[in-house]
Amino acid sequence: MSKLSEQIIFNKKQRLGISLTLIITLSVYGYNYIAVPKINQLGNHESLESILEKRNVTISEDKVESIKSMKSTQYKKSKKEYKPKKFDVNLFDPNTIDSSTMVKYGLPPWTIKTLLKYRSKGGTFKKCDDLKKIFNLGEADYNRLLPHCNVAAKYKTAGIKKKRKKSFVNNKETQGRDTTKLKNNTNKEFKSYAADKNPAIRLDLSTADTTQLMLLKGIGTFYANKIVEHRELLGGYRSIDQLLELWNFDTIVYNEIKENLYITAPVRKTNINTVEFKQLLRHPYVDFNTAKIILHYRKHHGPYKKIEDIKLTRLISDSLFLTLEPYFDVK
Amino acid sequence: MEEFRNIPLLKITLALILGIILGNSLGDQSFLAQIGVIGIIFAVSVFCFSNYYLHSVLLIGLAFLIGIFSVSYRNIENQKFHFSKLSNSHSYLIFEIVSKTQKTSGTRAQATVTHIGNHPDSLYNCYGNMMIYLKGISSDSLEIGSTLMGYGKHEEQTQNTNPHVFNYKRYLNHRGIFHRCFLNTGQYHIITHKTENLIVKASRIGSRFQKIFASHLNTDNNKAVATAMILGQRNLISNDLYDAFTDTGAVHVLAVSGLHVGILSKILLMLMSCMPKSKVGLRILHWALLITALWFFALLTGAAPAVIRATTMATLYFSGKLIYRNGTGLIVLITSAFLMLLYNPLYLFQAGFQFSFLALFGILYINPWLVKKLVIKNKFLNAIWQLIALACSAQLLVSPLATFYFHKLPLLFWLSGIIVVPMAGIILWNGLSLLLSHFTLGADNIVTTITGQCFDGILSFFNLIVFQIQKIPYCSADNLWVSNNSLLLIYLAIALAGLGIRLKNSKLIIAATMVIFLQSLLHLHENTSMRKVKKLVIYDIYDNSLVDVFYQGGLSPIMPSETDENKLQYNCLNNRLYNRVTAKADIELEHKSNFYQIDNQLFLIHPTDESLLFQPTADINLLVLSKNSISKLDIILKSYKVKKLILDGTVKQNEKLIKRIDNYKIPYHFTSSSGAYEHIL
Repeated sequence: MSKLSEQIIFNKKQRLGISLTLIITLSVYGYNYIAVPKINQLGNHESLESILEKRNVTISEDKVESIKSMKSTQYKKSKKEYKPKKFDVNLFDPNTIDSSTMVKYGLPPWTIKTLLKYRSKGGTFKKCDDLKKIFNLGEADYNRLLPHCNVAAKYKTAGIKKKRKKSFVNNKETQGRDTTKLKNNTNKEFKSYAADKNPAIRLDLSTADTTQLMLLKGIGTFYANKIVEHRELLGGYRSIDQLLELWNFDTIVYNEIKENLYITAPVRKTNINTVEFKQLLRHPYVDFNTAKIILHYRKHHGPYKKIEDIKLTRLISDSLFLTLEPYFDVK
Repeated sequence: MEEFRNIPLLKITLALILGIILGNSLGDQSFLAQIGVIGIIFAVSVFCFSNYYLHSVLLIGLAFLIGIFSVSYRNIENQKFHFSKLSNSHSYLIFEIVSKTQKTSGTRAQATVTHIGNHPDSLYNCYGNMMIYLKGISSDSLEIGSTLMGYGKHEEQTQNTNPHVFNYKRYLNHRGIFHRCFLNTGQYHIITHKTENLIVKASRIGSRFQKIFASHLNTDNNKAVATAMILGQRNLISNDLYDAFTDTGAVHVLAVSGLHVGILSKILLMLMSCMPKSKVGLRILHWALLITALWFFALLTGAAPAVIRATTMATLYFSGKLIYRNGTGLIVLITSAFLMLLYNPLYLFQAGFQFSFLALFGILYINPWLVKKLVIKNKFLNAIWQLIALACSAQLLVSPLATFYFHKLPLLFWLSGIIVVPMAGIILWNGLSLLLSHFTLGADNIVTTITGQCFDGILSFFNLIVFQIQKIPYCSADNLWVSNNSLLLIYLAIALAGLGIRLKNSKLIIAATMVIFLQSLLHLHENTSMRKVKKLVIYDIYDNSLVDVFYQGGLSPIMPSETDENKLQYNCLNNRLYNRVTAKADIELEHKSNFYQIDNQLFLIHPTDESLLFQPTADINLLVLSKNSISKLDIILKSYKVKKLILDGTVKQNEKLIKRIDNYKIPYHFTSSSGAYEHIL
């Protein structure tokens, strides 16, 4: 017999012993696989209460409930339900209600302020629907207050209070004087500004001052100042339609006045290589990030050789470049 | 070789081990087919009983098949009543805590699931282990054996996809844990702390003993060492303490193993020596008390594979003595291996089991031969030589595996062996005396107090020695990498050398030398080839960004400036060791604004706003984005030509992002879903 077979071979006793060991091993595996699950009732289902009873564990019903509701607690989204505050509102007259009562009725401070200002300027609520005149009174608040609104009879027929202005004409001090001019002058304040407008006027948008601009129909003090200020910040207008960039500038007004305007002077260009950060930021077309990136690039790469080089910063789009290009150059 | 021929169980055990290894590597196999084949072979073996040779071969084959079968048996696919088979992923579960670890925002617990279901009124009786993360609760509020009920989603353990990282999923799978579950506050409730489980009750007694030690010991290190050595609980060991024991080769002392069981056996035998043993009944009683005490100690200390091995061997040895049978150490060792693997074949893949058996095999097989090589007449010096020989015998077989696992080789193990091993016996004695005194005389008794102070003093001295040995230069060799092939060749060489010396066969010794030479060549070849490697590795780390550039033996990690690199070691250290990079090389990577030029390839890694100002002259080979730079995705892809896009672990894959990237029609890779990415230069 070969040496290898001598190593493998067992004698009779050893084979019996090994066989017995392997039989016992397989039996234990079989017992674990078949009998143990049945003994331990694996796969059977039972309720939480029965499990606790088997383990002799007593827990309160509240705890059992909280355990059972864990699933719904987990998936319930913690949305905060909006519950509007309830205010105790009584009958009120919008012409006489005071601010503390308005606060009690749930009106926000800005609405209270607007209402009081309206009344101080001579405004009157003739009917409850006039509450809509208060532009920042919300619809919910309006609907809530309307049923409780009660306008007194004396306000129902009231007109707008007019401030009586001193009439120099009837003044004893001016008696005997030629008051024709004065009459005309006193009437001046009631003259409409429209009478001063000159529809035929032609103005140079590059150089017109506020007085001249106010001669245009629809342009008052506010927009006249704005137009001039915008021009100063830009460095000049390139086209009339830049007026539409002004805040809340009405297109109807624009259409009426555009024929009255023209541009002669070229825009004042700023040197992109010498401009400071704050100065650049003041330009209406340059925001914080754009100013930062322009100056950052200039700092790391040296002066711009041509204005198109600002596009190399990768953050200035073509459209932005087109707006900036007329106002900047390199020197 | 004669001694091996006289151990028939050795061949059966080897066949069983081979079957287990094959069963583990094959994965899921047809359960019924295996049972069928085993049944057929068994039936055939019955008929072939008279044929010695055929019957022997069939028995070995049967053991081999049982090895494969035992692994399949433990596969959850074949477990009908495993909790994962009885319910959806979102379900109610009742579980019992087996072990717990305090984490930053809660507790991580290993638990046994006893019931599962979709509705609390219909819970299925089941079994299975799971790792459960309980948020918002301290581990002190839980006890081992506590029963909790929770509602949550259980999922399979995920694997860290970074290269050469420790395979935590496989580690848990070998311990029968395949799933995990995260439960938030409100998703779980403690039902009871009561338990009828003996193992749990033993663990609780251990926790009580731990408190007794803590009341008598002054420093954290003393408490940690006492708890680890006597109670097998290593949760108090700090990283510094663990490193000191590892560097000095004394870490085996911290894990309860054969050394402790052996010392405990001697103590118990000494205490029971006064018991009469003249009658059979008394001898059985003596045996029963001894075995019960040893198994109680094994359960108390957590029933780790090493202590189970030692307790099994002690049981077999004392059982043999009871029936007047004396087995050799090897027979007892192999029998305990056979029994343990039949009980749980997955023990084979646990490091504790491997170290325990290798060390003891070395002590039983090599130590007797080594001790005889040097005989010293002086008793004291002879005792020291015996301790050195013992340490060398154990280390010879354990060191290659320890280097493979931990990448460290202690060089002064022989020194720690002389001091640490005898002191371990004294510490164990003292610890048990303190417990005995505490329970019999009371905590405030003067004897207890003095015993406690002595215990504290001995532990302080013990720790001092270990830390002093660690300070010796070249105490250990760190950052070593042993490949799988190298490990196999080393053990083959050791086996050939061992056989050659015992059989006095010079050919075997020459063969062993040649194998060592081959292994050295292989190691050299691996080192040389690794030093030529040029690659980028983008790691998958969920809360950090790290890119390692390996360039011809050097390393340059790229990460955000505020990153603490020590926290990333777990994910990248093994890969760096594999690539034979032990220290950061000062590689001068040509880079500007996060653009890196390496060997005519351009990489843009974690771009910033400044990167957008840079005008590259070439296409970008690889763009790496993290969650901090993902916002620049569109502008970069519009502005530059990118060949491949990598999104690191901080960026989660989602459909919206994929749609965004698809618009640019470039290949992409999410490390969070597809694992770490390696780009070879």
